[in-house]
Amino acid sequence: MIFDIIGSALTWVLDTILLPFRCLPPIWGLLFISLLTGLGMISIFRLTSNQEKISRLRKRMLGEVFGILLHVSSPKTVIGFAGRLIGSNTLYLLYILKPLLVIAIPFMLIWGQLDARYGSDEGDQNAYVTITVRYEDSVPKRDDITVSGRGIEVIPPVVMVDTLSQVSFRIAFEDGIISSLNVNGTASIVGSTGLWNGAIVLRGFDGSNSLKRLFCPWVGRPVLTDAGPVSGWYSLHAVRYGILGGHWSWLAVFLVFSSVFAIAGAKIFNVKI
Amino acid sequence: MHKLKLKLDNETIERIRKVYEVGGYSSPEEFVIHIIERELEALDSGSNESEEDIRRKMEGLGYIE
Amino acid sequence: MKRREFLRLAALSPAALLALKTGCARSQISAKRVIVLGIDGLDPFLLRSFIHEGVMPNAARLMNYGGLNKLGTSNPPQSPVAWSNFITGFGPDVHGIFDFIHRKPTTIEPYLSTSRVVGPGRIISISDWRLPLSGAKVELLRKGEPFWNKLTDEGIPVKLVKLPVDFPPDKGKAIILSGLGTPDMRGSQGSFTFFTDDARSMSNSTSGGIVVAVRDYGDNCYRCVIKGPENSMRAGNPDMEIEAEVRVDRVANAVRIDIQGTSHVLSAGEWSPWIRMRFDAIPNISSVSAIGRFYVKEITPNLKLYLTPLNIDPLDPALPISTPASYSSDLARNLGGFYTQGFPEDTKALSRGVFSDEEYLQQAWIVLQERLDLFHHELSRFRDGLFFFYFSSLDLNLHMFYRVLDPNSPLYPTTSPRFKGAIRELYIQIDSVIGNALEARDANTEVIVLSDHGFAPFNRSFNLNTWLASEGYATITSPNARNQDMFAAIDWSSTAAYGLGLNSLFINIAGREENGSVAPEQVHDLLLRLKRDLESVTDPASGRRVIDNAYITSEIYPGPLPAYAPDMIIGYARCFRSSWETTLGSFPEEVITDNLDPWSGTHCIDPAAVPGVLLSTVPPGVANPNLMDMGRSLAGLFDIPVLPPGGRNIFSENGS
Repeated sequence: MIFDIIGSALTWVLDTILLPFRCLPPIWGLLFISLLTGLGMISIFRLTSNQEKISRLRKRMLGEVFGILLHVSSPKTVIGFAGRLIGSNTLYLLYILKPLLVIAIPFMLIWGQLDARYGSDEGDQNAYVTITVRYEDSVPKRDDITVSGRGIEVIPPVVMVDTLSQVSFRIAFEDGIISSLNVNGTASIVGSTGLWNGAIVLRGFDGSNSLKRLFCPWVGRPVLTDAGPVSGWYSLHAVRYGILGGHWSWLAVFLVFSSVFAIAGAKIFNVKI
Repeated sequence: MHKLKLKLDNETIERIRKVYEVGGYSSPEEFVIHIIERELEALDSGSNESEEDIRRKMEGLGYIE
Repeated sequence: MKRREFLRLAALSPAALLALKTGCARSQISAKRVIVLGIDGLDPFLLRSFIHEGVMPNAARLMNYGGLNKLGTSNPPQSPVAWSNFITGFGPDVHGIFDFIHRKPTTIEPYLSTSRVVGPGRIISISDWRLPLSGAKVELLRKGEPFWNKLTDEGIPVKLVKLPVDFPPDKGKAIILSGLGTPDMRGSQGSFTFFTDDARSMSNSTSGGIVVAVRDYGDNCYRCVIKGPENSMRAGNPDMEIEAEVRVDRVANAVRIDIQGTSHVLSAGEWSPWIRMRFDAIPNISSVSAIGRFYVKEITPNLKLYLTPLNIDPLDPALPISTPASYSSDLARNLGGFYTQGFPEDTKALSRGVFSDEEYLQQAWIVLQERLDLFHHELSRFRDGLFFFYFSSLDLNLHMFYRVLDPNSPLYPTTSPRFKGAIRELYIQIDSVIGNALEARDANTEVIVLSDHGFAPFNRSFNLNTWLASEGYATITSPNARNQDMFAAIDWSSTAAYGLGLNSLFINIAGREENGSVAPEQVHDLLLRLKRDLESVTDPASGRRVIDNAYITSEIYPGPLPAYAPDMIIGYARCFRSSWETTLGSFPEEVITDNLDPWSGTHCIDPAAVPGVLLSTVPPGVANPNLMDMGRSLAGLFDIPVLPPGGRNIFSENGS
């Protein structure tokens, strides 16, 4: 329960931040979040790390590198400097361990949010989306399975996979409506949760696992019934963004640009990293 | 050496007994082993890689069989 | 339109801004636009008859400009040779493509003539892993300079979509998507997979595809192993494999195919969309992407599941299929997956009985529909320069369905009359494409439709090698091996000549062939004798001549010829072609037999019998235009100082 509240709060925060980007192509929102993340990470790093120690250590490491370069002709000295450099590196890793641990949790939460918002296509009107639902114990009788929805068209056939307690079928999206699915009373949103760019795109639902929903917000929270399935997943396509002639995944965009913004932030605000 | 037992029907065994000497084999076992080896050789792509490769490249060309 | 597309279109993408290139615009010499439709196998006689029938109004319109001209084809009139003539403006003596199949002169090993894979240079071996220090390369074997270089040199944009005999595509300034000659992911020209538990469908043949036996162990699930490309990073180059779980619901008569985390529901008789599959060479580090489509032929009583040849994924091509490399992925992002292999129509599935006539036609229409989508997409973006678009549909479908046009075909009586209209429908579809091109025309645009060759029936098969043996030109020592490929039956020491490929005949020359038996000074006399004998062969069934012309290669192509060039090119008469068996060196008993394969049309005969077509908004100024003239002529429509060297400019009065 607590995870669902945190998750909803986080989703609300991200939705609010992305408000000005709703009408723009999704890449703008992703770049803006990358900027905030980069700057956020560098601020947390500044607050949680001992800047003075890092500064001193970096100078020492630089000295050791120069030491190696200046004494290239003397293997013994080079080995000595190299040994000290390895020691300094280990120390550096220890120094940054704390800030990295502090950054890790929000980073993972943001990661999940961005994956949910920018990782997947919300379903193409020209193509089918295959949906598979799983029942707790066994699949109901064929005639008892009811599939309906709003904003979607269910395409026959309905395939029963008894051995896995699963049922699969295809849907096509109708234009411009938030789509919902109802299988034997279990209801869940399919595709986007909103009609704006950057809204969470659901790739399935799971009635039981709220921790998973916190880190993986693309798993929706269904309205469950006894007769209906307990979980489901949708075959949606991954999205690629065209940048500099390449086709970048959201993760590549996020990692590259948040790093670029973080390094730029470190330069501007004189943070030692 | 691993052992692999084969079950053959009586008729086949009788036929093997009849033909192994004609084929110049010292025993029915030698005859059977040779036949299997010959088939394996023909099926094993590794033994004739280049030709296999060449065939694969032409596969699907409607103009030839 | 995709949901919310209007929102996305509402603002400029930063991706576009990032990709924005600065620099000067090219100095535009001419705003002229030329649209060229390259329609493989468009036959002048069939075209004329359909125009007369009134079902090709757009072709008729185009004919009013410059007439319906026969376009001289290559010798031999095979597509790789003909399109190379078109591209370079020269014959095989310059571009080096003499047949679909060439052979290594010493060992007589056949190989595909258009491209080859050059293995990686140095390899580090660790256990059974092999790590190449340099990547393997694919090499285009066509020589000669493409005519469009003269256009791109002057800054004129050139786009060639599905261009034949250009795999891997030229690395020049033209935008190219490679067509005919592009292999599938297994390196073949198209190798389907057919999963079944029907014993009657099992076969050891691997021609065009493999049949894989699968079994339901009672859980309504078939585990289907899909063989991918070879893994060059493992010793012995084993095939990479992935597994698809096919779960059947026999009551619903439907399946769910689970493959690499995606699920696809299909009813019997349905085609899946293109499905992306990743094959790991080194797990998590190195993998290649392929695309394939499933077709559920039958679920009960037996599972019959067809998988297309694994095509190179245009979104993430494992081998170069376009110039620039991003072109194919741009197309895939706009249009979805599409057939990238050079021969997309699965004629082999029909020949092998995996497809019925109906299913084959359905698949062929899928291919054509994809091509039409691609064509409309590109035509709508075409602003200036040269735009060439290639259609394979007529060629491959005439190969498979000539039997419905020709009452003399041995398969005519057994082919359902329902398919009589199949060829007409295709011509009508091509006519609509011509119509689209004409609609896109303005005062500055010319439209040209050309084909590489025409078509003829293939009713009777000529076993060239058997004939050579029966006439004493070849000696068979192992009669039991007559039906084996690769001349298993032959005694090379007393063989003077052999046939290989579709139109090629070779002399077994001492010093060139490993076991050559003919002294080089005797070759010419031998060729003259062979020519005389071959041209007098008649079919005992009809008394008709089998071969119109046996061309001595050095006489028609006087330039220095490569050692792999045939010594003679056989120009079969209409209705005849080299037999299936003879093309790869077998010796069936009879010299001439009926062709009972659905592949019932051919053009691999005498070039005079199968001319191509030229329709143009610019009337040709010279007689007997030839494919070799087209590059120079197309370039001549633009205002450029130097024209490509090959051929004549047929659109100028004096052909210069």
